[in-house]
Amino acid sequence: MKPNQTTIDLGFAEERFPAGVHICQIFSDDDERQDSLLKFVLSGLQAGERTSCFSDKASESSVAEFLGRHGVSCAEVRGSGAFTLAGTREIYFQNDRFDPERMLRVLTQYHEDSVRQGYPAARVIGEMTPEVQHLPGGSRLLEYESQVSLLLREHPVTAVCQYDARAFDGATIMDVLKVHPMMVIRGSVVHNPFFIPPEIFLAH
Amino acid sequence: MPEQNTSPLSAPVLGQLSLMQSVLWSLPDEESIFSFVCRGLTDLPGVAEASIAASREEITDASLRRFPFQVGPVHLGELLLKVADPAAFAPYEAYLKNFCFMMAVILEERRQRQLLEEQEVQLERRVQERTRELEAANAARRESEAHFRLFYEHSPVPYQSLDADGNFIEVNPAWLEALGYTRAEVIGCWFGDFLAPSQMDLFGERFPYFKKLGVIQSVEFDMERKDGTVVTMSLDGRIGYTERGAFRQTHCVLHNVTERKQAEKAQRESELRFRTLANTGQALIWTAGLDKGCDYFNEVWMRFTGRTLEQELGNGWAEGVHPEDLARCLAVYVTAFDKREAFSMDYRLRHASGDYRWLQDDGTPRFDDQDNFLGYIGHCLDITARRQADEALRESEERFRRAVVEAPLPIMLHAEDGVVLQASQSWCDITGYSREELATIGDWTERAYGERKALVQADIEALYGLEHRKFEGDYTIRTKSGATRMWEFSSAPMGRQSDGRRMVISMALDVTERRHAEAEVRRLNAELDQRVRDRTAQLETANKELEAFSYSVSHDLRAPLRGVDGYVRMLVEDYGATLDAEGNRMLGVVSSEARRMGQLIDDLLAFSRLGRQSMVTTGIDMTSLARVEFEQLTRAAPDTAPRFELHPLPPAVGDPAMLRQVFANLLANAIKFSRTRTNPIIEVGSSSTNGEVTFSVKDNGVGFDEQYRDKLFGVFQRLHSEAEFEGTGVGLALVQRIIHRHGGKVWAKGKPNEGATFFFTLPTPNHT
Repeated sequence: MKPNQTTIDLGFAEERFPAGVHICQIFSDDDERQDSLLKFVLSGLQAGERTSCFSDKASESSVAEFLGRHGVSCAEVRGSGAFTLAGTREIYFQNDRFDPERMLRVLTQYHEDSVRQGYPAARVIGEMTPEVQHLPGGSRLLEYESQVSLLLREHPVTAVCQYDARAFDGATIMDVLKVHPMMVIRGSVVHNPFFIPPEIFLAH
Repeated sequence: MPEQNTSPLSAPVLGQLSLMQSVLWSLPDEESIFSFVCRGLTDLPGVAEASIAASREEITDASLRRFPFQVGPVHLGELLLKVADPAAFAPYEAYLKNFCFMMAVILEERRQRQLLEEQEVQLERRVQERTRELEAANAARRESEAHFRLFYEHSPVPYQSLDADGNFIEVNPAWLEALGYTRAEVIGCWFGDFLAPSQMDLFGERFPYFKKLGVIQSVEFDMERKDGTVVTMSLDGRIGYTERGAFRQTHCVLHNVTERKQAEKAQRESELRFRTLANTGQALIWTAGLDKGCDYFNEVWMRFTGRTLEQELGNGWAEGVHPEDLARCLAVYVTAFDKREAFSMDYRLRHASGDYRWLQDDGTPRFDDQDNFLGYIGHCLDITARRQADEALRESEERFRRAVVEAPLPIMLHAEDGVVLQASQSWCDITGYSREELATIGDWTERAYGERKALVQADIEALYGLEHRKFEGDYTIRTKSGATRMWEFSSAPMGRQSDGRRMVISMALDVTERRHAEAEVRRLNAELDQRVRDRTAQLETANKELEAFSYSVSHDLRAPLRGVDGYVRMLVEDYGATLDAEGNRMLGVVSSEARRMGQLIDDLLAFSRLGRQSMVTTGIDMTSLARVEFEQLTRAAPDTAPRFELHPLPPAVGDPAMLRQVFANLLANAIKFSRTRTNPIIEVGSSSTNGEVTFSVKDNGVGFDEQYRDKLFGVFQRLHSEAEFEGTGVGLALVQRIIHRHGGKVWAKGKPNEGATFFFTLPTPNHT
């Protein structure tokens, strides 16, 4: 697997994108969140990519039901390790704290494993919850996201970060936009003019 | 945010503005939106700080720029930007305005959506509440159904129950009685078969709805009784359900509303008649409801104003009322309306032609059978012509009043109840009484006639029965100053007052001075008559004395003359031979003068006799009279007689002896003054004009100069010398006196040496 050599299907957008894009999705509707999540997972699995989903809102049964309807056995892909389904807290907030370095290591590891296991690409969709703002290390969320952008240059995991606009205040949403080069808005993937390249953002 | 390119219109900055708009749609609430936007706009070139204000607050900080969130009239707050670098910010100002407008649109849309959602929630809650209520009601209904049926079984109200197909399951005795059937004729039969033929299909259509809704109210059907008559029944009912909620049967009660329907029909017909009547007459008709607003105008009204019903309804009609009349018009209307009283008012309403016309509007409150107030109905008539006539009448009456008041004569208009309606200023001026002092005829008679008032009062009262003008004659009145005046009264009937009182106009001429003058004239005339009579008597006496004197003088003079003549002749006879020729000539002159004097005396006697002589009037053949007289004159010398041309003359009436004398004198003159002619001609003729005959005697003799014609008919007046033509100068004076005594005239025309014509007239016999 080599970065940026192939384009991938995000499942919820018409357009294809190079692997390793860092996208944030601002949503205010449960259906919108679920629709993007399931389509992203399905398209990844259908493309044979290693796929992970970190969300408290994606129940195993609903995901399995959706995948099953599209000819993908949830149990099978989970069994093979191609698909990982876990809650937000379980992945992001281990030990009741948010540790950006650990998360970056996890991502790096995830990509390296995927490459080693021969997957053509790897993708992750995860929903950040407002809980992070109250946890130790939570203030480093933006720094973390900016670091992810930097990391994905070396380890092109296609990453979609879901943010519930109903749960974060508007200023935070604006801040989140600044650390994602692309965003999904009302079903369309667009380049984010607010994006501040990680070198600049992190320098500040 | 990194340092921005501050050159005008950085694409990323515009992209940020654009993207923010897109994100706004996904943000859940205004708070979230505002914080998102403020955070985003802080990075705008030149901007140091962004905040949101709810209302238009006073701003003192010059670096603050405000951008309102405004959609039409809706203001949703505003964005305040603290601008640190105006030059860098300037290029984006216009874009920011657009951005804020878009933001306002989004905010407004959200508010509307939120409102809608809240309403939907509320509606849903109400639906749920209502559903619970209905369920509870259904339960209660099911419970009461048993009672329901029992009740209607014994009810005086007709009751029926149908199965799901519309067939009768049950009817109560009241139903059977109402429709005249027996139970056996009804049970099991289809309800539709008991309807009037036109309504069978209607039942088929309505019954499924009844079953679906579970209830019907006041649904009317025309039902056919067994005797064939049709009655209108109003049905109220509900569906009876099984315990599982399935349809079991209907329960309906029927009310006979035939009379009500007929009444409604009659009402509709009455309404139709009203509208037909309203629209066919001349009156403008309107009705108003309880809110005072008008809810109907007839077609006549619409044709009059040229406006539509929609324009006139409510208070629209008031737009057409003349501005000067509107306030009064509305005050009358509102006052009457609040008191529920009828009203009548005049006002001007704009006609379709644009002119204002006068209407008389009569409004009456309307009540129903129970005396409930319903509003008003009014009708208006175009009284423009009547008002103009009234105006003309008023002007005419005013003119009449002024004519009376300002008349130069005493004029009084009074009514039969004795009231003085008008009196002219002249009346007051002459009598010295004011109009207040002459308020009644009683006042007048009391003041003007004093003790004679009863008599005058009776005369005045008789006037009220007059049919024509009456001349009343003179009355002596007393003025305020105590003087008396003589008034000549005339009165005429003047018809009746509007209240029926008969009126009389009396006019007076103040004839005080004239009567005095007339009395003076009469006195003077009498005096003059007496003087004339006295003078005539004196003259007649003097005349008689004079004539007696002339006669006695003439008579007494003739005796000495005869003596002179006799003694001259004796002297010639006895002593003629002794006297020389001169002596004899002188004696001849004495004798001739004595005879001439004798002739003069004879003529004078004849002339004076004529004044005293009485006339014997008779019919006279004037032709014969002229001929005989001519022959008489020429008998002595027929050879030298002139040619005599006598035209036939009309007969005359007069004294034959006198008229013979006229011809004798005129013909003798003609012969005498034409004898110097070689062919003397005398022509006698006549002409007749205007009942008067003119006789003429014409000769071709020496004629006369007309400047002396006045002398022709004078006594002893002569135009020729005695030597030339003999004569005494009495002949023509005698002719004139005779003709004058006959009532005629005499005159002459002539020129020297061209003859003369003498004319005299006599009235024709039938005119005498």
